[in-house]
Amino acid sequence: MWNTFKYTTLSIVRERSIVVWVLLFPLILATLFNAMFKGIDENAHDLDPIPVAIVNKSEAGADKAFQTMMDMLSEGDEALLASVEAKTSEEAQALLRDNKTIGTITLDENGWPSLELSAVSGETGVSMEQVKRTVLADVVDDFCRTRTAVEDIMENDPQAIRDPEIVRSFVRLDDYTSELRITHSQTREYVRYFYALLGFAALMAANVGLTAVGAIQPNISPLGARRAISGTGRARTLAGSIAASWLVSFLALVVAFVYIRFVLGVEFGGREAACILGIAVSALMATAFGALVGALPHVPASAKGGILSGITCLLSLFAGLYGTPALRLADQVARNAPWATAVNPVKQVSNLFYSLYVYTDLEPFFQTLGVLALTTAVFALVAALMMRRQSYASL
Amino acid sequence: MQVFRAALKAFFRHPIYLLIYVVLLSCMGVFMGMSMNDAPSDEYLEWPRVAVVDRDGQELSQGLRAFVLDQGEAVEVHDSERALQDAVMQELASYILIIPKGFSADFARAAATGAKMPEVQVIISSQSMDVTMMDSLVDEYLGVARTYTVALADASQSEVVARTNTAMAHTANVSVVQTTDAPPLSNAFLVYLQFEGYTILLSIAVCSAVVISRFGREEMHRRVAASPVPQLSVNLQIAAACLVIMLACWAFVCVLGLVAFGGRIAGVAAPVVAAALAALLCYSLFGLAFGFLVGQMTDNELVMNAVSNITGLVISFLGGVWISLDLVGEPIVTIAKFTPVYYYNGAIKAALDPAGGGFTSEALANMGIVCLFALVVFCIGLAISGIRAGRMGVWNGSSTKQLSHPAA
Repeated sequence: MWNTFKYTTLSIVRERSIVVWVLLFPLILATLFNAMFKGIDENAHDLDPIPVAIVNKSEAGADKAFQTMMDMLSEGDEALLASVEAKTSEEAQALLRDNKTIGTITLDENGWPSLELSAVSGETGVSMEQVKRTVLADVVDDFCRTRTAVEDIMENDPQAIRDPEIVRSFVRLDDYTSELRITHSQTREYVRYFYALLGFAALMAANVGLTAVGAIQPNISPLGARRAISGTGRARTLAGSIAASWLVSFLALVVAFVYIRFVLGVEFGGREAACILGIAVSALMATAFGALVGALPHVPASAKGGILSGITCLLSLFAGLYGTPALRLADQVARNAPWATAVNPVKQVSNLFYSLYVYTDLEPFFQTLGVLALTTAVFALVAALMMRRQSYASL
Repeated sequence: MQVFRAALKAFFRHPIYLLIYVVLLSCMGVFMGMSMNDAPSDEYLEWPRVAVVDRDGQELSQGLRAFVLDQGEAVEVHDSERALQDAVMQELASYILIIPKGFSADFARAAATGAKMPEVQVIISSQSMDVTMMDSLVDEYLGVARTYTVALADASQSEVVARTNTAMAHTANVSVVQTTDAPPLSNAFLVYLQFEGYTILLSIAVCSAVVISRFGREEMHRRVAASPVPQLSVNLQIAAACLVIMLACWAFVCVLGLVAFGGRIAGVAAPVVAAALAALLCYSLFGLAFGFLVGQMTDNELVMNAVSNITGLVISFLGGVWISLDLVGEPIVTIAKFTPVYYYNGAIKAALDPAGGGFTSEALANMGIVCLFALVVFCIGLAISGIRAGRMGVWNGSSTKQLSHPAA
């Protein structure tokens, strides 16, 4: 068995496709994620001034409060708005149509603003255009709310408005919230993409198991045929091959993890030892999955790789690998059909790391580990049944 | 036409590729499109799913609770550490407001005395913009409540809350205007086409690479070279077969999209939809060229899968298909401009532009650039093919020499 293990390991690491899939792929994608998502995190609160047209139809003096607010928001290096005066609604519409503004604020005769926004051309996920529209709507709403409160006090409690403290409080911007950390690490959404990537990489590592199982099946490869008539028993050959597959998958995933954790600096809740344990179980699950696909009868060996990568791509969609909309879709599915999460190994591997990141105790991590172990057992059992029932050319 | 038929036969011997790459992966785009709604709220950020844990239970906290739950999608969360962690982990609520016990009383006291105002606590699952906006709404509510508390020194807390609620309910009239007479375009259809950029690249590249690599094998190459059919004719027939495969993949994706999202784009002018599908066709040409390149580099199907998949994922991310490029830094945008997906994305956006889409100059320019990318990749593939053929020729020549030597 030792020889089987040794030579299977050597043959796997010499296989170019394995190196590309299992080792290079996570490293390339993790580097890309790092460049893109960290940029998003850093730029999250950087807004260019929002271009907006103002159409003033108010009577003399009715626009004073609004103009004061606009002056405050349009001045300085960190101006929120870049307003342009439009004489007529048609002029404002033209600016909107030419994409020179994203909205038009129209003041009625009493100085109350209304807002018109251009229809946005579709974006996947959150876009800066959406952010700007939301901020603009909030600015106008905020003005209406504050003005309502001021007029209410002036009308019902006119003496109160003489208090300078009350006047100051209308423009005072206090912060009434503080972030409470109940999770193990400070929450950052982008880490979830790296966890989904590890889930994807884990399932892609099934290629190792697929290759190793293919190499012992007599009807799949000439090598398998030679090995079938050798003196080593089938069970020992299989055990040695699976052990070698697991080792290679495990080491490849560890390399990806070390790169993501220590080179890119992605947080795993400071529980690196638990991560290694998680990777060991994930690699076992991947090997069992590879063996299962490898044991599929009546499917050419070359097509099995296609099946495996196709399934992995599909499952990764529901783990949120493909950007913001996919992450939202994965969350929707997880909320509405939890069973779909339980049967998705990519999502389970991703949850394994996320539970370490979120929870203060390790119970959820071990629960997910248990689900993965169960998945591994099911894959292995089905693979064994399929391999056992296969018959080959005989005399 | 023998080679053409043989090439198609070689491809159809692998129906699994057709099933997985063309059918199954195309469905991913349908899932993505279906998950988008075309409601006018898409103009703004989606408000977060919110939960409020009210440990105070007084009028002010109840008023704040009702206001917050009214702003976002309200979710119930139990008041325990594990339940709150579960809510974050399972993305049940991305904004959880905790109003501590005694908050209302502390608030009234601090407002009256001018002392530091007490704070409510928030648990957030991400540092996103929607969460920041929610935070500012809470600040707004409590700011107005503070003003009323100071102004109405003798009023009860219920009166303060009632008047705060009235003020906070007064929002501006906001509307979305169509700047053209055309009906609004479906966001779902656009997202479908954006996502299909990845899957169609993958399916065409893998399927055509499988065919090309079959004919690129050394033994096959020698047999074909020994046949009376000119090499040019062989190559053209293989290319024609790959083109048929590409057109079949493109047609499938188009039909699937029109069936799945036909209802949502009903009323949209035919040239607008046609322009978007033409952009997909141009991108399919790039997929074909890429498949040709991969087919020249290897005949290992696992490597073909891997290279196509990695390239597809990387350029899709970089091209702004899955992450809006206006959110990432300038260097990434610069790199993105060296990928065909960037121009494909630009072409379908221009084609489906609500302010006048179709075959506009912008859409056509972007399609042209995508075609140029296809041409460049095809030329690289041709160069590699030439080098390989040259190597085989040298090898064959030396072999012939060796074989002929004993006879001499």
